[in-house]
Amino acid sequence: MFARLLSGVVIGMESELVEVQCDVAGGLPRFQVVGLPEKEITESRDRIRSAIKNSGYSFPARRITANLAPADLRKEGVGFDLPTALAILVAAEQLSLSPRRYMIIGEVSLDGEVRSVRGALPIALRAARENLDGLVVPAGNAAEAALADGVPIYPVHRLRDAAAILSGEKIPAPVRVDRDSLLKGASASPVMDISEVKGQEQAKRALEVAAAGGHNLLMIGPPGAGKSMLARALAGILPPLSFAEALEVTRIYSVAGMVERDTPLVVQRPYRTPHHTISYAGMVGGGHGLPGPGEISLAHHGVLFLDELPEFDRRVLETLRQPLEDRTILLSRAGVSVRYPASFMLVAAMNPCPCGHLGDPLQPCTCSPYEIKRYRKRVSGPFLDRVDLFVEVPRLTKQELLNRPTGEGSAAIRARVKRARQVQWERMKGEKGRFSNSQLDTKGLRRYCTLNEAAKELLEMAIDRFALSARAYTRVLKVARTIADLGGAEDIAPEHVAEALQYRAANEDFAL
Amino acid sequence: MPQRQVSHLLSLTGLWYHVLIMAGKDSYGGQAETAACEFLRARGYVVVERNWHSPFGEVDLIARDGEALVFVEVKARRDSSFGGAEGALTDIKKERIIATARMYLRGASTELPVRFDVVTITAGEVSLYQDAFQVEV
Repeated sequence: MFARLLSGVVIGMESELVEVQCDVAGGLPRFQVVGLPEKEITESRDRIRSAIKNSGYSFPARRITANLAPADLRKEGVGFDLPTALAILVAAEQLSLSPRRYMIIGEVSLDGEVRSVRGALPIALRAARENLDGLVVPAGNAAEAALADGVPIYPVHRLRDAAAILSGEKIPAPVRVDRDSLLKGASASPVMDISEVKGQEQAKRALEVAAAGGHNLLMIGPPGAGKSMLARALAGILPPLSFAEALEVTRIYSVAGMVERDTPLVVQRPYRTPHHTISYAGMVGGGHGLPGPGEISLAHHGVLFLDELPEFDRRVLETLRQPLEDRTILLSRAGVSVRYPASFMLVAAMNPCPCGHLGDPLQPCTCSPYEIKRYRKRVSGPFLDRVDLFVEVPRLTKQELLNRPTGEGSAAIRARVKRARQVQWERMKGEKGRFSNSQLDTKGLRRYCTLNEAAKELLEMAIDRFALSARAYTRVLKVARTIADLGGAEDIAPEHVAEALQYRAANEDFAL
Repeated sequence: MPQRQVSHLLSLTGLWYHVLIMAGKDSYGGQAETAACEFLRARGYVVVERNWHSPFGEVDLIARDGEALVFVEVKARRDSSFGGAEGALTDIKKERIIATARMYLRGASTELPVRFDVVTITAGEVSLYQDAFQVEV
């Protein structure tokens, strides 16, 4: 008359074990779920009732109490449907358990079908830490859950399948995925080749440096010069994800319910392009109940491209400041706080002024100084301080416009970027969660960014000349390190520092 | 004088209608309940009460089905033109039945399994809905 089964709940990127307890007793017939359930869980009663009836069992006309323990942990999501339904069947003596211990997640539909849930990967990773005989998941989540090593994954299509596993009557073969073949499936996204962009050689070089070190980049130029095209071409020169990176990204996408069934591992570097009307909850994460990941977390280990930067709500842009430094975001709400990783590469584009033609040799700017000032003020100084590379994307000359596009293709640049990243991976092998120069901390800077004498002198001069803030200084150092890595240099030489400084100078030219 | 006449007439008419309605209800509703009783008995139910009243409302039949105590609501319609009897059980009616069941169960063992069934009779056809509704939490 009493049964207990094991399930799990996702809280941010982590997962907690939840025991689903069920008691079936006499008295007035009712079915209640206790243990701090959110709305969707109390609603699950009607789904569970129908699913049990339509799977050939009978829903007991008894007083049924389901408890989700620990009772002080807030629970949401539909993953408890399946374990609760099974616990009722066990407590009503319609199903007998084999001695094997399973963890169970899944949503049920009215006809007894088991539907996919969010967060199967974090739950599978948690299950792998327990000594379990298996994890029972909806078939749609099986491949994703199987990315976690250390626990057999049993896929189920219907409530009856899950019951058969629990009783030991019919246990399917556990799902396995081949990590290597999944990673190999990753090729450069065939979006657009960078050689299709006419001219803009300086901007292309800046993109290469940004991609190689994961640095933040701001492109400034008149409308139609190719800023958005360049940004799109960036996706094609990004280095491939390592398995550790891919697993982290997949974990976020699993929580967001965005993992594709056929390609369980996210192998493409994320490239997120939110529209400028985005809310701050959409950008950094949030929403009702447990905060979900926002665009900055969905762009983890990838690119967050903000086109028309000044058009974004200023409050939204300011919320990016802290995650840009910390590479993580802590979302605190009444009763819960969750942390999501947010190590993204910021790429932004803007016009130099409201009309877009400031500094254009052919078309005069029609903005008043006041208008320009107001426009620029929409992006704050502290925000710009976090940009590593400023690059001008000027109007194309007549020749450039008429000639066929020239320059290297994405494949060649991507190969260089990949090599530079390889150097960085090797160098930072011992440091957990750090993969690129942009993620270096002060200790890493001291250890890896050794300047030779001439380079040191040049940088000292630059501190005075450009009035570099402490943050800007470390950013110049990191960019110089990346440029040296691209050139295959061990130590940072003056030319590397000079190029890094040049990407700050564009900022000064514009007097932003 | 004319005024008294009018009120006298009104009360007479009112009373007449009341008798007419009650007679109609008794004849059809009562018949339906009797038919439901027969139907349940044939299925092994033991009917223990008919039209049990409480301050909250009334339960048509109370019966034992095996170890379970069953509160039965009987719904009858002469024809199915208004959706038949199945559509006639409103939330308020359910609440009244549940409240009445609580009154009936005062002092009974809490381990006694209880159920709410509905018997519908539409145009002479009898159907039984076991565990038709439960206590909403």
